[in-house]
Amino acid sequence: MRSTAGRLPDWLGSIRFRLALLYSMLVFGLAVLVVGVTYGAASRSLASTPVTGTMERVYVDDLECYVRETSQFCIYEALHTESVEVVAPLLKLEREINQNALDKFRYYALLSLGGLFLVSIVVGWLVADRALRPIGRITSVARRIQATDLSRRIEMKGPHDELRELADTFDGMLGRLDDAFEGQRRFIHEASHELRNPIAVIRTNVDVALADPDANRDELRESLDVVGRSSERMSVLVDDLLTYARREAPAMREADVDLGEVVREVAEEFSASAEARGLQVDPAFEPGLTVLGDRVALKQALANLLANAVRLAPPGTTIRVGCGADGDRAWMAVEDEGPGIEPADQAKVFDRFFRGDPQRSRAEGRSGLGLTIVRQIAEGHGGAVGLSSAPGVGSTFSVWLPKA
Amino acid sequence: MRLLVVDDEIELTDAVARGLRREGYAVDVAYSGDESLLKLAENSYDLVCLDLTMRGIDGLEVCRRIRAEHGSVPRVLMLTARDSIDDRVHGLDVGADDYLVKPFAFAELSARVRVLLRRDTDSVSSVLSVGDLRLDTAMHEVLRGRREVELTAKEFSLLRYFMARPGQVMSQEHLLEHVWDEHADPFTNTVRVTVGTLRKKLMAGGEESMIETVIGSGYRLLAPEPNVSTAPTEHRP
Repeated sequence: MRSTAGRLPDWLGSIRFRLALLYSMLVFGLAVLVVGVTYGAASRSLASTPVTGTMERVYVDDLECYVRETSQFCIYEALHTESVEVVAPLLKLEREINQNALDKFRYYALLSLGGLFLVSIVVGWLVADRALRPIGRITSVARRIQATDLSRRIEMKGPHDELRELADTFDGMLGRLDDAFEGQRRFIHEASHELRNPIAVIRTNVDVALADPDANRDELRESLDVVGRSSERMSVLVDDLLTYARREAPAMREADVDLGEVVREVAEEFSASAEARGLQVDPAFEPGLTVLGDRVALKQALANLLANAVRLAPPGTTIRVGCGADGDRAWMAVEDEGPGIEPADQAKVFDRFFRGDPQRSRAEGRSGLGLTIVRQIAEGHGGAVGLSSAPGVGSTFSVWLPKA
Repeated sequence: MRLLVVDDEIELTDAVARGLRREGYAVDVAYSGDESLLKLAENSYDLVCLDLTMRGIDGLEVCRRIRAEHGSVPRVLMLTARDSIDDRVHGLDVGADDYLVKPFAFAELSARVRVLLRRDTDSVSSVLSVGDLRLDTAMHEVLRGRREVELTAKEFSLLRYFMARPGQVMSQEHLLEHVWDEHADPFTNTVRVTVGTLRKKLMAGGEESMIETVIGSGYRLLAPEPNVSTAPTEHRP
């Protein structure tokens, strides 16, 4: 079967051909049925109730009056001369006439059926073409779409039928793919920029140090210091990039996570570094508050928020970290007492590679991805991040999660 | 030759400046677009190494302003971590002379700087030549006839500036501005002293003096008679 189909010309296997054939078969079949039924019924009724038979009975009852009325002139003459016997040849004559008519009917019926067959094939071919044209358009657009350029759309006009719906669905899918690819491209663009800078610092410092044959110990040591700091910055950046890229895939381990535990553990982790800066970390949590999610990720989100607060809060202040519930949502939050974030920057702090003070954050070896990862974790859990901040007063960062 | 290096990566800026200073250029640095505009308004530079992506005023804007306010005089070499064709074309469109993608080898940066600065001198090779004096900007060698002349970085840089403009009279202020960087004290006689030692070193083999003092105006480099030649010559083998 397969091998025969393989040798057939392409158009024989096309939907267009099959649709045309189906259409033509249906029209032809129905026509054959109609013609056949009509023919059968006509031939049967003509044979079973001959007109002359009726006449015979009419003749027996009231000859003159009826025959005249039907104005069968020749029969009328014949009936006058010989009553019963003439009826038989008349019946035969009627049969022959009927047969002849039926033959003619059959001839023209077959002829027109043949014609109908040809016409239905052609019409079917054209109709199928018209019906399938949008599919051709979808195919040609899909063929021209490259992974590097997803900007094309089918943009089908016309009635809201199934094909239009298909085309619109394709367009929607292309839009989502385009957004995803664009996001990926932007990310790679930004990430490569972020990675190239520390590499450039390392390379230039090494080149310049090596090119100087008279460089003394201190100069070489200074170059090595710079190289060390830049490598550190790069490794933090690479770690965060990998964390971020891994979280991009929705592979969160789902389990009941006790938020109170998370708050307690993270607060403990940071107590030493907070103390070193003269800060106090004040944890407050409800026991038994659970959400469905990834324990490691939720800890990281809170740790990123707390790390920012510990780094930036003015010495002598208190950082409150806690969790709670509000309706069907649970929250974790970190509240500090300064320095706060300028209103213009508040919308941007969760963006990739946003840094309040780029030079300082580079010197501290930060990646600019910490809050982005927090947002990503929150959104990965079907939640969101919140921020309220006033410059000089303090900031509250929160992670909202659906309650288990 | 006075250069300005602009980049918000402090450690990169400092390393580039250090490397270029060792090549004998007077180098100033700026760590932001705003700072670079201040220095550009204050000093006249022969070349600016400009980072494209900086917060606040970025490299494109600085480049646009350089072209609007200073014309084509400071050559602009864009340094950037962006490498898409669009970014490059855009950078060149606003008037950058060349483009270097980070991370780069310092040798390449230095070669591009040399090429860009040479555009002012009609020379096609890295060797400048006046009379029997030859200066190789790439190899950092100076020859008077067959005698090699040992020069300090500052003397080398001063001689290169003279040799790029043979016969032209240049004032002390002009030399201070183009050969010394922003750390030079304008009230010292550093220019006079350096010109003096350079002149002596060029004559140390008993040759005739090449640096002439034009009283009240400054200095100029002249090839001694009879073989006056200011045209650049072909490559050395």
